[in-house]
Amino acid sequence: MSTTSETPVLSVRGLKTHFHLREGLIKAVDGVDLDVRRGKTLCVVGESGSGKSMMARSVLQIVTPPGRVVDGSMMFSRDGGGSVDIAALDPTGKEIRAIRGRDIAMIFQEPMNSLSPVHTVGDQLVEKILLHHKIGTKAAIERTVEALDRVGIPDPRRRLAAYPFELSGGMRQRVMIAMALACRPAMLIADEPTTALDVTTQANILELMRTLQDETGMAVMFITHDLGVVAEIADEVAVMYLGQVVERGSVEDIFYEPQHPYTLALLASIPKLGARHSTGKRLTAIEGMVPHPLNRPTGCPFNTRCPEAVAGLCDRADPALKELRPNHFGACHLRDPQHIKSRNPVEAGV
Amino acid sequence: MIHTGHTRNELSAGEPLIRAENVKVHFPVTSGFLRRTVRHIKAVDGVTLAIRAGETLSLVGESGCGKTTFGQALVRVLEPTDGRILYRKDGETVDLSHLTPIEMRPYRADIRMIFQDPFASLNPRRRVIDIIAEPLRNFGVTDQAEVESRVADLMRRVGLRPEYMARYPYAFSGGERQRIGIARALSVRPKIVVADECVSALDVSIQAQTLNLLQDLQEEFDLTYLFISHDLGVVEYISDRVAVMYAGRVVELATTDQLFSRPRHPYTAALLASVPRPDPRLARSQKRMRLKGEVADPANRPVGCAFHPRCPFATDLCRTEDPAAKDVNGTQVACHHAENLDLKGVTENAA
Amino acid sequence: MAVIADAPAPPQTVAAAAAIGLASQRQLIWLKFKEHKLAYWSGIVILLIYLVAVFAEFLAPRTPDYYDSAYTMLAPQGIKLFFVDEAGSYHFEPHVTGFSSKRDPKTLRKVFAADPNVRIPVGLFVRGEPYKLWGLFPSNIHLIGPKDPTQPFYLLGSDRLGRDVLSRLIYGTRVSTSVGLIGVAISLILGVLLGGISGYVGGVVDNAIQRVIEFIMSVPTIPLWMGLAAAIPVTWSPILVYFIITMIISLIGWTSLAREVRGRFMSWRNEVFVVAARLDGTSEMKIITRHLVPGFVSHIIAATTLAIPAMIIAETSLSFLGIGLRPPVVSWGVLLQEAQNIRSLAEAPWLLAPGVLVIVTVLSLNFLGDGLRDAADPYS
Repeated sequence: MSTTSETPVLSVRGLKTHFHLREGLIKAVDGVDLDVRRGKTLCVVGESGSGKSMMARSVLQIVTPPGRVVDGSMMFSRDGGGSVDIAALDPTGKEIRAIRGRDIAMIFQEPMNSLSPVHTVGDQLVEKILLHHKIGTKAAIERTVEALDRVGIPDPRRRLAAYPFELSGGMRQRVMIAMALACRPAMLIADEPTTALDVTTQANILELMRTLQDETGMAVMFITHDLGVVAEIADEVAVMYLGQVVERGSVEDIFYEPQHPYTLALLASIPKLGARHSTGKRLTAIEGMVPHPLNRPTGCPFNTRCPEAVAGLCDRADPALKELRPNHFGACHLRDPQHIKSRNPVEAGV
Repeated sequence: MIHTGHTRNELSAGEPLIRAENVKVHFPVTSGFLRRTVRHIKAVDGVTLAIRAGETLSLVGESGCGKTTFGQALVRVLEPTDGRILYRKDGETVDLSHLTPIEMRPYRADIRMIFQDPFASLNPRRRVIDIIAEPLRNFGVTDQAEVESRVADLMRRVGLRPEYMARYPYAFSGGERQRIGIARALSVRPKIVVADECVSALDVSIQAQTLNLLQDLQEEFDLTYLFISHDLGVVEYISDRVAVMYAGRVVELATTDQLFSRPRHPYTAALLASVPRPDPRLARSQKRMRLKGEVADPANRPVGCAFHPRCPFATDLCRTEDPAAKDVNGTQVACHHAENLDLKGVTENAA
Repeated sequence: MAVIADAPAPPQTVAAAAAIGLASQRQLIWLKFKEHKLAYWSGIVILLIYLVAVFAEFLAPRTPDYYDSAYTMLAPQGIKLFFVDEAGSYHFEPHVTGFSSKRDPKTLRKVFAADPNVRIPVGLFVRGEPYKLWGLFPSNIHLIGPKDPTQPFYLLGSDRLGRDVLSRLIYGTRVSTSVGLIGVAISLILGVLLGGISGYVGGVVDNAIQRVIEFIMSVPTIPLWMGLAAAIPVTWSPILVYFIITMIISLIGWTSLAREVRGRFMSWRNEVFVVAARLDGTSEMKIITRHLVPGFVSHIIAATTLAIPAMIIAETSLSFLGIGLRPPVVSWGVLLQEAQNIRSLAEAPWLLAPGVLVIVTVLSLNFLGDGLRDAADPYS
């Protein structure tokens, strides 16, 4: 699968977000490279502590102090040309505020936290549309109804007067999506939007997001820990571990040709529906626990739990993300073409 | 596979160790100064379920279906509004449903619980040894040396270093805390363990470790599990039998194989179709069954079959008459049309 | 969450113990409290103030009732450590400047003017007026005072009767701070008892207690206090008045404590770890003593600390208005009441010293309480 040469909507290079705490420096995001393309969904997958949410927050510059984007670039390209490096913007400045909500929208795991409990759904949506567009109130209400209708809320005109607590979790998430898409953003960041929902509702929301993406051609960055969800919705996948992208590629590459030992282990450790009787009784678990962010291992971040780790190599140098195959990147010494060549020239030649 | 003396397909094997008969848990909704009851939330509305010695019975369903409430009634955190909970001990059968806390105490050692939240379920002010040993001390082990050796043994078995027993829980990660919770549940050699969403708060890799551990311990301690979960992938992996709950009732009960390969209730089929599969080609190849609408409100149960407003196969019969559970090819199912529906289960991944 | 080290070695400090999970709740609270610098230093100030209150008799140069009509409305005397003799050489001798009297030619009143030539030697642990420490141990040793007890010695000036403001302030500290403590103790007993019952029993009992609390809270405090205080017969002894006033003040204070206790009880009763303990076969009594109370105490201490300043302010206000404690009892409020006229403001600002002390005490208690409250739950 080859991607076109068109400029990505968002191109992140060497992004670092650090937290200076009294106990020490926490490198929540430590050198992340990724691209989000128009009309495509990039899933960022990782366990807790992988820095995936912090990375998403960095894109909108909404990292809470003492956290700060300390390095790297985030080139955001608008449709009509013109690009801006978000990393260089002042987190409280005017430019970034114009981007937030209008150009890049974000939805969160718990919609209740991002909706005001004392205003009706209609008021909040209309206000948001008026904030970013110079149109009359009437037109804004029409657009709100249209937006609610688009996300599959039955009887949208009546729902305008509803308060968030009167809606179910799934409905609230739909309202959040309607709100996020009201200004037709070029990109949507979804941070675990379905984690708090039931499976049947989750399936509906995922389907909705796909349909809306087909309609609008927006780019989506989807943060999740659930590989099942990734398989459903992703075009491209970035696997994160301890603040770094360890593997990146198309969804097919990641699921059918995984390269990095962490990706392999992660895929092996999930119980697969309908697969019990052929694969046997035990799950292949990853040994040990995710290291504490203050206690990062030296060398490759995964070397302490990696079944393939080579002493003297993996615990010394931090592997760089290299293109292993076209558009398939991995950060592993043992998969590095140069390393394979130097160790086993015959095999590499085959 | 778990080897506890019987195979998965033998429905008749294993004696019921504990049996819930028509258990109901209704919560009154009060209002006004005098706290008058205005209506009831029927969280559990007539569940009959027999758990056999040595098996793992899973209870699945979406949030609000009453699975957690039923688990709490079974371990008697809650008192059931109606129905009986028959527990067999030393050849005698006791009804646990209305025992007072003092009468209940002797059975607390037999029926244990593992909680969902590994953070909230451990008192942060107590050392690991005190947490694990609390049931031990309550049930008569008072000698400090013996307590220590037994706690050390338990910690080793759940994969924790016994040297850490003097530490407080805040120093442990979620997965390690859940192991502490498991050790606490097992410290008094229980017969039945109710595990309420005990892996859903954990990361995937930690989840796998914990599930493997639960299976090893089942074999080692000869345990019977009631495994409450919303995650069908985990349920299929760990269970012998599965009960699907909807709006406070069991709508389908079958062996794991049967339920996953040939669901009989439309709700089960919809649940199975909704689970995201970690297989992109499979996920995109088929058009799957989707449910409209919301989960039934337990305070306002629909007339007839509670599932009919969302069911694609609903008929007038479903809208008027509440279906009773019946046997269809070895599956207990509460659906008027169970025999006539050809519902899709999940098949093995193509890859 | 902290990092688990590989080899368990005995930690050297509390911080090191906390890092590997060996520190107990008390140690963690202390660790967190110490980080709160303002609260830490406020705590030290409060400690000093209460030490003054405890050892008032010893610390005060005079008894509160000592007066010398010869020296009224004197400005504070400063302690000088050296004096210069005629030969021009320095001598070490702590002293205060004395006075010489003159007669005002117009009013014919005797006026005192500071006379640098009169030195009143000052010493530590001097013998002065006899007193009984805590009413038990007779002594006449004072921490500081003039070597000759008949000489004037007014470090914070004197009032219109020639009494020593410093000594009265020290005795006033004892009365005012103890009103705060005793008032809070009564509030605490009422609050924990009623709040505990309310939270534990719930239902109708809870409903009733809450309504009573709301009623008490809705009564405007100052008029209520005034009414109650005015009802105290003038003939009652000062000690009895003191206790009655304390009771009146704590009558209001218990309500907020009761709410705090009830709230905690209700939220903790259903904590998962409490349910877990119940399933462990732990009896209700043990659940309360082993699981609820240990988590509770720190919160209660913090809430109590925050309640003391209100008590002190209440006593001061009542006494200031003349309906609280009455002379001869000495409290900050009584002292301020005596200073409430233009003359003292204009001519003798040192009479307002109790006001400064009230502010320092109340602020310090509030800072301390804030720090304790933040540290009370070290796990969040």
